[in-house]
Amino acid sequence: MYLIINHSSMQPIYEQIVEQIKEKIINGEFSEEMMLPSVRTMAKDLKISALTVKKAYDALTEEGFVVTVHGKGSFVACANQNMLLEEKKKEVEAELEAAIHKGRSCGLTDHDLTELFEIVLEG
Amino acid sequence: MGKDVMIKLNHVQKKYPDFSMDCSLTVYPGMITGLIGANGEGKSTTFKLILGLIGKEAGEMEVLGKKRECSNDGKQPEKEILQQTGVVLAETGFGSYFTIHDIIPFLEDLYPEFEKDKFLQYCEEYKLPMNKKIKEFSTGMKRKLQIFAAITHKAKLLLLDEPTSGLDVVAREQMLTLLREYMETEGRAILISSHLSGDLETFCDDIYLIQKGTITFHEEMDRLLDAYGLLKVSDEVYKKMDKSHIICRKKENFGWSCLTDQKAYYQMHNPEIVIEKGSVDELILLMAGGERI
Amino acid sequence: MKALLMKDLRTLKNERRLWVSIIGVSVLFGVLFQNWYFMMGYIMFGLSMIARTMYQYDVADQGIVYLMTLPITRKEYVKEKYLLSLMSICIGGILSMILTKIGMLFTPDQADSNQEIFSAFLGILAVALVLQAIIFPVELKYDVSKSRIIILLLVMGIIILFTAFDMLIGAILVAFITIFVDAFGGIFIQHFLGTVLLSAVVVGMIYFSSYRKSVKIMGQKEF
Repeated sequence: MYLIINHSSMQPIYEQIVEQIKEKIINGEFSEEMMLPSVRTMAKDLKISALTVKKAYDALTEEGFVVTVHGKGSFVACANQNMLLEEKKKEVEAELEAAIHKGRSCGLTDHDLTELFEIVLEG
Repeated sequence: MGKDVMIKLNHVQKKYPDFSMDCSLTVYPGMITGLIGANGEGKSTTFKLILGLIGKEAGEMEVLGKKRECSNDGKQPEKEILQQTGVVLAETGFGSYFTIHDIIPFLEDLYPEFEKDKFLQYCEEYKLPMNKKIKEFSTGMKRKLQIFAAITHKAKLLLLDEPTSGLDVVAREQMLTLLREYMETEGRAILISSHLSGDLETFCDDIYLIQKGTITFHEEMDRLLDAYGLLKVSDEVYKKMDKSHIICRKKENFGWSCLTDQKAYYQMHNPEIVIEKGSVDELILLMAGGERI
Repeated sequence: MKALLMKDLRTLKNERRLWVSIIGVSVLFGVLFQNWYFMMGYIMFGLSMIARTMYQYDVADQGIVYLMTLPITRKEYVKEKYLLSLMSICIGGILSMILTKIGMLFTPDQADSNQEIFSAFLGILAVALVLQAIIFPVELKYDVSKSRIIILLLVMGIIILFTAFDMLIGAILVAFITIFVDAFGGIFIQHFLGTVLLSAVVVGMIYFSSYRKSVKIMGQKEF
C-alpha cells in the first residue's frame, strides 16, 4: 500500500491515512471489495503505531468507505455515487467555512458576506 | 476491560537505597508498550521484577495469566510461562565460548516450539558468523543474536530491555521491522524500553514513563504525537495564558516551555504562540526537568 | 537440564587443556612419589572442581542472569551442577583406578588387590562428595572472594579443632579408636559390602541435604 505519511506535519497521522485512502477509493485506484492490509501490516509498512492505523480504519468505516468484517479484515465498500458526492460536498462546506471565518475576522458582517457570495455565484 | 492481559503490575513495590519502586502498568495483547525513563530510575528493575530475577515486596503481579507471589521462593515464573516469553536483557547474553552451532541444540531443548530454520535463516540473512565464538562477536552482532533467539520460538510475550542499543541506524531499523513482523501474528505483545525516542515513536502503541521507581505518565503514542504539543512562550504571555490544559512546564531562558495534551485548543485560541508537535524527547525533558501543574 | 549439561560440556571442551593437564600432573606425581593413591586423590579432587568452575564462569560473564530468563528453573540449575560434580568425580575415579592398576604393574611391590584399589576410590569419593557438599552452598551464597575466605576459615577451623581435640583428649581418643578398630575392624573387612552401603547412605544423605540447601539459596538469590 503506497501511502506517504508526513511525520512533521501538524495534521494528525490518522487523518493523513484517512485522506489518502479516501482519495484512492474515489479515483478508483482501490477497487470495490478490495481487502485493505491488516492493521499490523499497515503499521509495519508505515512505521507507526497500530492504534493510529486502527483509528484511521475506524474513521473510514464510520464514514462508510470501508467495511470491517470481524475476524476477516477491512474491505473497500461498494462505490456509491451518492457517497462520493457527499464527500465532495463536505469539502466545499469546509472551504466555505474557512472563507467565512476569514471574512469575519477582517470585520465583514454576515450581510457583507452574503453579498460577496452572490457576486461570485453570478460571476 | 474484559481483555486478557499479558502483563499486569499493580503497585509492585521494592525498596532500594536510591529509590522505592512502586510500579503499576498493564500490557494488553496486540500492543507494543514502551517504557522510558532515565538510567537508574527503574526501567531495568521493572523487567527484572517481571522475569523473577528479583522478588517483589508487595503488590500484585500477573504475567501471561499466572499470578506471582511475594514469597522469596516464589519469585521465579513457572517454566511454561518462560517458554512463552522471549527476552533481550542488556548486558547479558549467551556465554562467550559458544558458536551459533552450539546454541541451536541448546535452544531446541529449552523451547519446545523453537523454529530452527527460521533462526538459521535470520542468522544467515544478517550475516552472523556461524562458526565464530560469541566472544568474538561485535556488540551489534550479539544483540541481533539475542533478538533472533527471542523471536524464533513462537513466544507470546517479548520483554526487550534496550534491544537496539549498540546497533547502527540501519541495523536498528532492520530489527524493528523484524519485531513488527513478529507482531503481525495475533495474540502477542511486546514490552520494550529504549533511550532512542525515534525508535519508540515509530514503533510503540503506548508508552509509560518511569521516574524514581514510579510511573509518572502513560499515554497512547498516537495521542502523544497528534494531540500533544509543546508550547514555547515568554513570561508575559505565560501569565495571561489559559493554563487549564497544561500538563507540565519548564523554565527556559526565553520564558517557559509547556506540555499540553490539547494542542488544537491552543492552536485555535492562541494562534500566535509557537507550538511544536509532541514527541517522546520533549516529554522526557519536560517531565524530568520541569514541574507538573 | 539437558541443555545445561550440553552447555557445561561445551565449555569443558574448550577448557580441556586445563583438565587434561591436571590429570597429567597427577600422573607425574604418582610416578615421582611412587604413590598411586596420591595420584588418585589428586585426580578426583581436581576434577571435583569442574562443576564449581562452570558456575563461576556463568557468574563472571553474566551468563547466569541470562540463563535465569530462559525456561530453566533455579532448581534445575543446581541439580545439574551437583550431577555434573558427581559425574566428574566418578569419571576421574574410574580413570585413576585404571591408571593405578597400570601403575602398579610397574611397581609390583606396591601392588594392591583390586578390592583395595576400589576401597581407596570409594574412600576418596566419599571425602570428595562431603567436601563438595560443604563448599557448594557456601560458594552459591557468597560471591567468589568471600566464599574463598569462608572456606579457608572453615578448613583452618577444622584443623584447629582436631589439633585441640587431639591435644586435650589425645590419649583417650587413641585408646578409643584402637578399641573401636579392634572390635569393628574385622567386621569392616568381612562385611565390606555392608560398610560400603552404610557409608554410601550417609554420604548420600549429606550430599542430598547439601543439594536441598543449595536449591534454597539459589531460589532466594536476586539477580
